[in-house]
Amino acid sequence: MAALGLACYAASSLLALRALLGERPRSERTSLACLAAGWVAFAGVLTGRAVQSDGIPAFNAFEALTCYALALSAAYLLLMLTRPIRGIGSLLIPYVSVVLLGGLPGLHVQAGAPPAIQDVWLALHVLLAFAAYALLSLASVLAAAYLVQDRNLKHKLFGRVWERLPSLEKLDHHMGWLLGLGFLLLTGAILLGITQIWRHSGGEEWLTDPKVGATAVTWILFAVLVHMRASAGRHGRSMAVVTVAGLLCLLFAFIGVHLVTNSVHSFVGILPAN
Amino acid sequence: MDLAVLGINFKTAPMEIREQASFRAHEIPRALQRMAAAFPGAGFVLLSTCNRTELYLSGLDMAAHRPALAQALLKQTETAAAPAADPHFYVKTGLAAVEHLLTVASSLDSMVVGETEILGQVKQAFAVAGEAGTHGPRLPTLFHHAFRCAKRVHAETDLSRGRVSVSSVAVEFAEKVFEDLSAKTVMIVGAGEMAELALKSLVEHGAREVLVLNRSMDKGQALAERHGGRAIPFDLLDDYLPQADIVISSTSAPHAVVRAAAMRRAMELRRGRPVLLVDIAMPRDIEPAAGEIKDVYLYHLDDLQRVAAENLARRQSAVEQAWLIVREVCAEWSELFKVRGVGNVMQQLDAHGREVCETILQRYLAKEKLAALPEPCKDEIRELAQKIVNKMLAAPKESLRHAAKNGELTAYEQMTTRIFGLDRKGTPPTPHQDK
Repeated sequence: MAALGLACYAASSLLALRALLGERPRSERTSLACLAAGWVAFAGVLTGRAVQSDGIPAFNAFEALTCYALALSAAYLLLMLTRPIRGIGSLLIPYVSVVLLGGLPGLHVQAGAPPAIQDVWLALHVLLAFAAYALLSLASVLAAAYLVQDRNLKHKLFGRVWERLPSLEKLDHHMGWLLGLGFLLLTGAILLGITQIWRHSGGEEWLTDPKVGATAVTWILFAVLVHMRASAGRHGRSMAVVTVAGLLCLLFAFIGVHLVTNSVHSFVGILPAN
Repeated sequence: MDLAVLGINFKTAPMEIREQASFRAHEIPRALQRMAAAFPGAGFVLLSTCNRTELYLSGLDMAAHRPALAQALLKQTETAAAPAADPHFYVKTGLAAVEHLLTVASSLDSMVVGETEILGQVKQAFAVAGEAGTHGPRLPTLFHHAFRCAKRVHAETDLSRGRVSVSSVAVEFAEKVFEDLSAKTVMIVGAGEMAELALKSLVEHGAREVLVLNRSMDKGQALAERHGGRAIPFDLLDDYLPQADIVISSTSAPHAVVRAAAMRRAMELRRGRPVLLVDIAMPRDIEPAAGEIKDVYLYHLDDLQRVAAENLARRQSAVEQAWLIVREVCAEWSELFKVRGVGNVMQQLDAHGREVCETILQRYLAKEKLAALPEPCKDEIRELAQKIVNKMLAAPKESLRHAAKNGELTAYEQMTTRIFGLDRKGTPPTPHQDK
């Protein structure tokens, strides 16, 4: 099932790239259909694992990366259904496919949170965190598209990419509301996480966890970004650059931190640093 | 095929001739109704644009009625002009007429190949004929084929992609920076002709707030009034710069008018909101350094011309591909026509068979010996007679189908009509004639 899903994602990536770079931009719909098919396949895999382990399927590298990829794909599909925005798939879908591919080594590793903390609040914490990651990542992909279009306009590169990517204003507008909503969800996820620590009399190891620190830095960065956009009315290239930097920060907090240090949030299947 | 087109266009007639056959929108329904009254049973659609006037018709012998139809198209002008205009009319019949409509709707026959307005005008002409009740039974199928063909040409080729006039390319740039031009402020610096054309294109695409800065306040005022904007004293350029989302400059000043330093100050106030600068002056009006400022996008006349030329070249290269689609749709239409033609003859043949059957049965079942038969028996006899007729007509119908596929329909159609007497309406063979 995972192989089928990955094949759908690969096909979707190729079609999305063809829609941006090919002679005719007609493959975008087919790309979306493949993406939806891939999403269903991976959702099936995760559901199977959830039933098998009787818990939330987000505690090993495969599950966490797949949850993130599915949340991001769902956010993109919803955006395309409600406010179609051309050309973004060519950046987003290959990125999501790479994320899914990165999780595959952990496909056969079983893991789960300690039964004591497996409750509805933990589920909500995980759900909000992935929704926030998805929206903030989508905003960052739009920011990357903004930078590409800005470069085309600045350097007078009037090719297919210039023609097929949306206007700067449209990208900036969608980036704005996605950042706002993503930031709210991230705040909610953090608050729920803190509540969990308090409820389960968590020790100092949770508060001094590197992942918590990295997430706090990410939260501060997005807080500044949202403030600058909403209160100070800042737009344009600088905001797009900071938003892309936000994605790097977010990725470090989500997965990178586990590669360089030990964390109590650690995912099974990712080698912690010695 | 009883389809034809009679018309004049920019290729066959100069403007003074085209004017004689030009119809304003409100005149078209009346003209159509006049023609429908003069030629009952025929179908008409009248297309009248600034580049062409064409009358599409069906169910009429074009060779016999050409002078009268041409006269009808020129009716609203002095008759003295009619003889001069007549040689400029072209006539196309059958498949040539079909192909002509497909090329017109697909914008292959337009002055600016690939322009999209013509499709709307053809749709409008068809709708007007529909409202006037003059398009008859044949033309709707033809026009729907033309709309489908045009849709395919626009979707599958580059014929309509990109703008080809320098002034409209400015709009193309604006649409890549801004999503909604209606909320944007356009500043025109200098009242040059090119700047006005660009402004006109932007206003047509939704731009509402227009600021005009010109050294001559009167000229600036006049330009502003023409486009619903307001004139600003030229000295206040730097003060108004932060408000402008799009600046089009075309003064004849020998030095730069929009300085990079002023632009930098404006951008600080705009907080990253992008600005499009279009400099179409020679020598240039906007300091090149202004284009290096973050979120400022500066284009010169050369850039506009380059994009216009690229778009035009792309359209030209798509012409051949568009023609392939037109020919494909034309062939589809031709096939459909053949099948419909067969259908008509077959329907006539069936009707003829039924009529013969009913006439004979009516006569014989009324006779004394058969009249006493119970009704179920009479029904059996009727059914049997109809089956015999159907069986006898099956072979001629099959031959007609083959003939249509082999392009011999007309000959077979004539033969069938004569053999079965289909052209002698209302005179089916009677028992006496049979004797």
